[in-house]
Amino acid sequence: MMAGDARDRPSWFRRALDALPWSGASSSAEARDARFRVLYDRFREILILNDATLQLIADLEDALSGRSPFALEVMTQRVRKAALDVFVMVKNLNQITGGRHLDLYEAIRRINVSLEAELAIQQRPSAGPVTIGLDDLRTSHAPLVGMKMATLGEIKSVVGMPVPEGFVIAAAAFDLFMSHNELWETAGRLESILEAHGSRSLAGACKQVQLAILSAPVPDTLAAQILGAFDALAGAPDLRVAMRSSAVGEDSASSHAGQYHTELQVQRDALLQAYRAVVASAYSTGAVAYRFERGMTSAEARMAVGCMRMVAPRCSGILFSRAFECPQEDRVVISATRGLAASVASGEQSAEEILVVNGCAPPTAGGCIRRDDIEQLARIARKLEQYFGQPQDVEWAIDEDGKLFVLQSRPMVVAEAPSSCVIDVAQGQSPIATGGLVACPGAGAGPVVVIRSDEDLDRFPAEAVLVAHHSSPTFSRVMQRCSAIVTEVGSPTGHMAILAREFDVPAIVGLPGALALLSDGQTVTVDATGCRIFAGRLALPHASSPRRAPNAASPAVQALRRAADLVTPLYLTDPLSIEFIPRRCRSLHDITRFVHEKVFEAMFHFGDVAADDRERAVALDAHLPIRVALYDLGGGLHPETLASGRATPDQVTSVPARAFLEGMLDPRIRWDQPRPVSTRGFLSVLGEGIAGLPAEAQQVGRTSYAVVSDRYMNFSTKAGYHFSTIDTWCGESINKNYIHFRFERGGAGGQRRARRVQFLDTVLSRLDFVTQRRGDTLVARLQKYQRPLIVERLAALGRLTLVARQLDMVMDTDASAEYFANAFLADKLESF
Amino acid sequence: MAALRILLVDDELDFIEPLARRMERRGMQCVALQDGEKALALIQTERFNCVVLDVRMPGIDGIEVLRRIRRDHPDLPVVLLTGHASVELGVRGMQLGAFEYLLKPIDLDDLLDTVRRAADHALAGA
Repeated sequence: MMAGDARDRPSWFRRALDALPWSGASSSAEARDARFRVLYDRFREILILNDATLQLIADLEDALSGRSPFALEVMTQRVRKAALDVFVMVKNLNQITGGRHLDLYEAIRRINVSLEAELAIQQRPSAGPVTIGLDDLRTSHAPLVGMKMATLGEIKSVVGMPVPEGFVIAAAAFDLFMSHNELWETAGRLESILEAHGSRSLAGACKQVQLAILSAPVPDTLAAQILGAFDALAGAPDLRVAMRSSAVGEDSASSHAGQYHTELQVQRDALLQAYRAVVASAYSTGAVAYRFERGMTSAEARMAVGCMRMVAPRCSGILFSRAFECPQEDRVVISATRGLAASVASGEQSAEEILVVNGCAPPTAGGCIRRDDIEQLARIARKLEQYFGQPQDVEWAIDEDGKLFVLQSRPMVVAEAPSSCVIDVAQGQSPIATGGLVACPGAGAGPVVVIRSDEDLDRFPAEAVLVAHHSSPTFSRVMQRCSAIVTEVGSPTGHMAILAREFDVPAIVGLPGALALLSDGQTVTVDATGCRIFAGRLALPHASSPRRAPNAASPAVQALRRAADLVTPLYLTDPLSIEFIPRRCRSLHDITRFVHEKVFEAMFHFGDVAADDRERAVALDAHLPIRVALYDLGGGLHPETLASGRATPDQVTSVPARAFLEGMLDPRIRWDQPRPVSTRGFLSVLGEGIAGLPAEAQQVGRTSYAVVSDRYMNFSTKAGYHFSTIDTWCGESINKNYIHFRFERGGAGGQRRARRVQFLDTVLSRLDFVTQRRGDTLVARLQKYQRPLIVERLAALGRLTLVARQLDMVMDTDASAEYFANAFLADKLESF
Repeated sequence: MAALRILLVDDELDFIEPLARRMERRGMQCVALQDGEKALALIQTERFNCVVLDVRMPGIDGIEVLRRIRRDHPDLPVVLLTGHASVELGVRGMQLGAFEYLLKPIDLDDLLDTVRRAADHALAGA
């Protein structure tokens, strides 16, 4: 290798090279083969883990905003997995860069410790006592006793509403019972059966598991503790209790009503049998299929059982604190029946339906329930709703003395206001644009402001609709004052979509032709939920964007939310900021962002690694002013080329490399012909330049390196004055496609160097790249475009690489930079 | 070139013995030990190209074994191989200078590649 090369590299990269195995003379043949491949594999692994982490972040946001149901344990597991993935990203980055970012280890460790502290709350459902009195329960005990009973305890002791006294046979008892009878394995087979034979075989298998549970003995010590708790209730031994399921680990908002078994009027001698019956319902066909759909295993299904004194009710029933179809209005819907309402919820028993509007009972009401009872129920409904922060579905009973009891309360599902409202308003109007994907539901209106570069964001007005070609996390700067976002390209799992959800800005991504359909300044209404855009400002109901409930339903969910605060927020948004350092990483998202930025920086030196591996090099046979050495990672070159050590352009099978070569080989670029002497630029070179040419300028013809696979190319060239690298992926999946281009260190004098960067910046910006300049270094990125466009841009970069060579000597004024940029963009290649 | 000498340290006999046999069939010389102390004693007297080390073991654990190897034999590369994925142990392992952190189950070829690279790295550095 030339001494000049080693001097040109950053020192950390030399260290990294030294740390890699191939720098030794003693490398074995197999390890030699692994030279650049190891680096590449670690790089690709970072990109894959990056995608997986962003997906988890998006799913977590969705789950916690209540937009999609989720199983808590599954989410917890995924968060843990993400922490490990991010650790591997940190490890790979350090291995790639020879330990340049060791501080990141401390950052991931610190975040992981906090994360574990939050997640540990949910971790040990089997710890703790086997029975717990209802008075002692709070919602934070959900991991021990299930959300249903934990909520009741909170209602009784904290909210201060009457709840029948009782106790819970905790999940720890369930664990003991299952382990004692070796039932875990039996139950665990249900998933394999479901997976192998489908749902039709499930009913029979579930029956067998349930039979096994019903006939299994409750261990003696456990039985003694359960009966002891029963005896401790006043009125024993003649007492009768209701036994209700309270499954652990299932979000109460998503668990089906009536999925599990309830036993009523249970006396002491039937207590253990009733316990088994309720426990067995954890393995009903419906329950197993439900868990399976959510990716939960049988080992994760833990059943706690609540035992509460039976109320002898004069009447009982259920209520919804809001009417499903119009949750914004003050309505309470009550179903009441005489006596015990065991089957009202399941719809098996008819009941009287009462609608309470604005707290007033309707005059006709009162078949089985008194007017003042109705109004008391309505007040309780509001109070519970307020306490838990969202509409509630409540089971209640009123005894002969008129005393009201709450038997259960859980979040209810209400219609999403925004979509229905927008549809109403939009009736009779047809949308001016439709399509794309919902990045954040809701609706917003305002004037269109088209964003083409980061600078445009500085001028972004309040309450405007942001329209851009592709999504970018830099939009977060204006999200506070933005009424909606529409992009032509982007993914609901991307950084920007996550941020949009964080700020609750209605957003549509991937809406084709948005820029053509929407013009700057035009007022529009964006219905993100319906992926439609209407002309003009349609009347939107108040709070048409679903704002997050300030008070999450369950403490387990709250714990996950606190954990999510260590995962999803992005604080490190600007790579140029001095705050863009490992010490400032506060979330897994931050570390992911940092690693992503730095690994691309490192890959700009990939060619140097390949350069050392002469045995694997394949020389390109092409009419070019630069020598190109190709290195195949797989599928990038015709197999014959390795034996001969030479490849023609036709033997290059890598999609991005073919496109790039095609651009460089454009016959209109006459690099091999003398330039017309009359060219103004050339004259000026003759006039002032030649004497001052630095030594580097004479290195024209040094080898360029291209590391390729079928869809990947890393091309670095040092021909002429400049050092430039292209790192690109060009495949079928739009979200994975990118081109990263970096240009640095011109050889010409300061001013001319700046003009060359200016020329490239102008050209690349107009070719849709997002550019970033620091001194005489230019970084340009293009991401999330369809393959044909990536191919086209790579060809343009190929042409640019050659013409920029020519330009090195002729860029004598600022105007010439602009002149050549325009000529290039107008495809007037003969100008060069 | 002489066969690489690899020291495998893992308390799981069912795992380590078949692994040693498979690696030998692929041309490596393997010594399998179930105990960290014994491993530390052996590297005082015998020369190895690489140590493949489990992180969680009864008695002296893998992290401590790693720490002492790095202290007393800085040229001997250590590859961590564990069934318990843990960010905490992974970070400590890498900070202490492990060559690589791998999770079980692992593909034999991947393990052989890593071991070869670790050995090469040590030779190059020596």
